[in-house]
Amino acid sequence: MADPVMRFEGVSKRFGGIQALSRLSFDILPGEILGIIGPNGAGKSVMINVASGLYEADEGRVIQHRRDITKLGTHQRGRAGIARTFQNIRLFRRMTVLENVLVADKRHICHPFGSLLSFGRRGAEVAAALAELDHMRLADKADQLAGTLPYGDARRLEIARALAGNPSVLFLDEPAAGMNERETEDLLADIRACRGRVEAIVVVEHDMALLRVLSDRLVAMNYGQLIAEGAPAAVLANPEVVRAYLGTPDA
Amino acid sequence: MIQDHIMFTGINILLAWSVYVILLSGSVSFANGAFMAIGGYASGVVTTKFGLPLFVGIPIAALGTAAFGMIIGLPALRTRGIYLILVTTGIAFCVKNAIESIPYVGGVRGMRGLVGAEPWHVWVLVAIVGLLLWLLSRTPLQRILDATREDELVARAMGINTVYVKVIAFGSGAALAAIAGGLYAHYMYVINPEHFGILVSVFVVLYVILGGTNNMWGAPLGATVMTLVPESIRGLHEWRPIVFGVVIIVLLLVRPEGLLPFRAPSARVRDARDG
Amino acid sequence: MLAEQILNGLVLGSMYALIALGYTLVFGVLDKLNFAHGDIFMFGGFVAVTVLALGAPLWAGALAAVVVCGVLGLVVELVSFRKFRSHDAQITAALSSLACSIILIDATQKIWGTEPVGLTLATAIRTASVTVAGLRIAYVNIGILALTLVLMILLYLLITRTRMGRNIRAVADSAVAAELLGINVTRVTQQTFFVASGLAGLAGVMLATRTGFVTTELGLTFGIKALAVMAIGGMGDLRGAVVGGLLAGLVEALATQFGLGKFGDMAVWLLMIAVLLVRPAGLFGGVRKETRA
Repeated sequence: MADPVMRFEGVSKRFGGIQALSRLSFDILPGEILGIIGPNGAGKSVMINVASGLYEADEGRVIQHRRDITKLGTHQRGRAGIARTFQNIRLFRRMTVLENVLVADKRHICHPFGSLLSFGRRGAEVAAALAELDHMRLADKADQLAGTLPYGDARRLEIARALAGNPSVLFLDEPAAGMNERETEDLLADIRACRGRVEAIVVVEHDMALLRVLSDRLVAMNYGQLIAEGAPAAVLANPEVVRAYLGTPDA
Repeated sequence: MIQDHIMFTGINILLAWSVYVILLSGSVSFANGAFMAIGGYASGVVTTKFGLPLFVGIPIAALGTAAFGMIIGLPALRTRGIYLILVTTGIAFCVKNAIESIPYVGGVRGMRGLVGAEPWHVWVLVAIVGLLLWLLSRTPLQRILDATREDELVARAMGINTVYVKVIAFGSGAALAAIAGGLYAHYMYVINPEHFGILVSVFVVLYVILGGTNNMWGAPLGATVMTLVPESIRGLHEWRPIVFGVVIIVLLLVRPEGLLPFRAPSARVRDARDG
Repeated sequence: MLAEQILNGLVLGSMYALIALGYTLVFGVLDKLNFAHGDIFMFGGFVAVTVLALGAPLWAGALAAVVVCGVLGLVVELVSFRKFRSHDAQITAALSSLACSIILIDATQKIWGTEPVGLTLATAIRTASVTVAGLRIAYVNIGILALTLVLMILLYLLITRTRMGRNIRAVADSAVAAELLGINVTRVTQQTFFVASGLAGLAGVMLATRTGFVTTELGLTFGIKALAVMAIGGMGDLRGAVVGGLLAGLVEALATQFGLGKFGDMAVWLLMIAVLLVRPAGLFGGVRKETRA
């Protein structure tokens, strides 16, 4: 079996009196779309925050390609190819759509002062950014301020921005929140289209139907713990998972 | 005198830009009056105590102040917003106190005999800084600064080392303020701590607010307006602080983005065709 | 004498504490700093000077200072804080109150000139003292300490036992929740500003009585140190303001005693910077956010 792209190993995280994550362990495999499902408060967003370095794990390890990255800080995780979106969409609102994508360029991010000399590559970079925007059907709004975008466009821009950094893993935090059926369909297609571009995609959601059709594998969480892992159908039929969502497994 | 006006306008433009540079990375600094003081004193020491020419003194002062700014900035810039305002205010007071306590630089009485600065020196620098800022505004670094300012958390998640960026910006602003301070001191012939109270830092920040913080032209506009307009309208000079205060209050209520609200994006679609 | 300096320190500290309480009250309720506060303190002294120059007794001067400064506080609230309710407007409100500060200082200079202005109070009264155990204690100092103690008790009662105090605490906790409970947040904010500014004005009178004169720089020297005090004690924490104020007064007095006058000043600022860097919530504040971005 191939090396996991990322691995959570016994990760625990506590906030005051609340155990947000409890010895959470799972793998993210190459080429897959991994769904993470759980009711509100299950710890899904905390997990993304630990993965992307916003929170430091109290216990356990986070591993990327066999490398222990537990101690790496936020910006180092970003440079290591861990990209994420946010539940409440955090764009650079006063920058244009084009600039939001351009700023993701890792070459410049890693050498901000070297970027001062990059005049020659400018045309090519803008063209590449426009191509990226085109995939998300945003190219015609490139010069618009990101803060003026409608909801669906804003979500797609956040994903485009994350992809523009050529990440290895892309974490999507409740990307379908607030979307109607039509928009959700489009979103699923957009996510599937990303498959070849990154090593793995992790989609966190509490919408079971969505993850059933989208994910290759599913991880179910509750109260900060992993309660089931495997093929979507099997996980969603798992009595403990059902209980977490509905209370009891009977009619 | 006309020469004074030209000189002080240029100095204030440099000071305003020194605040702007730091503002670009998302920090409001009330320490730039202190950086100006350090620059003035450092260059004064180089010229009067070591007998070196001004064009040696200024760069030394700029580098020294930049180093000081970056060392102080490293811990200080972990705070932000109001807390950073407080910390930079504290720095300003400490620097003034420290200068007053050092006999070598004249303590409360200061130093004299600082000569060599002319208005054209200042304006050459204004042109250079202006050019550099204009070039900057079209590079990826501008976007990195914008991102750091807009949403530091997201910028970090994308891989931007925002601490590094903020510290360098802080040091650059300190250097620029130091240069302004050195030129100011060597034009005024004397330098003493009285010139560098907290109000200097406050006024400079307000120049930038007046002009507008969204682009590089607001700062010099605010500085120019507040330096020249009181001079040109008879009687206005005595009322300068009150008028300035009222203007700022009204501005913040009705047009907080300042006199020049526009923002010039660092790249547009049409750039894909050129270059 | 050490004991005398300690007393001095407590007296100084009392005034710092009163001003710091004002900063804290506003910060607690609005999460914002009123940079004009130090100059309202300064103005209080000037009001008293004027009233006394007209022949009125000291208590009348003090009362006038409280009222005038309270009203000034209301003006600042209206102009610099009413419109800027959101948390993001922290800096905007701060800058606007700085502009108020600039106006106030200059206006005061226009009216009274730039030289120190003396308080029309017989020097005999100002320096009258009682000697206890070889220690000379000026009545003025006793008065300041006693009055400060009374004021703090009154403030404590106000905050904990009255409806207004309950409302203030509710708004300080969460303006949104308070509004939902039917509390008029604007009214509460005004009340807070009035109390804070009144206290500052009174502190201004105290200082004027003690030193015998007022100057327009007091806001930027004495008053702003109270800002440092507030940050040290914990932004938004009333106990912190009091403890911090007294501490700062003692540090300053003792520094003078041992010939380190200038450094006493710096010490307060350095301490503030250190606290803000290490424990931004101050000595009495809570813990900060978790994320390490």
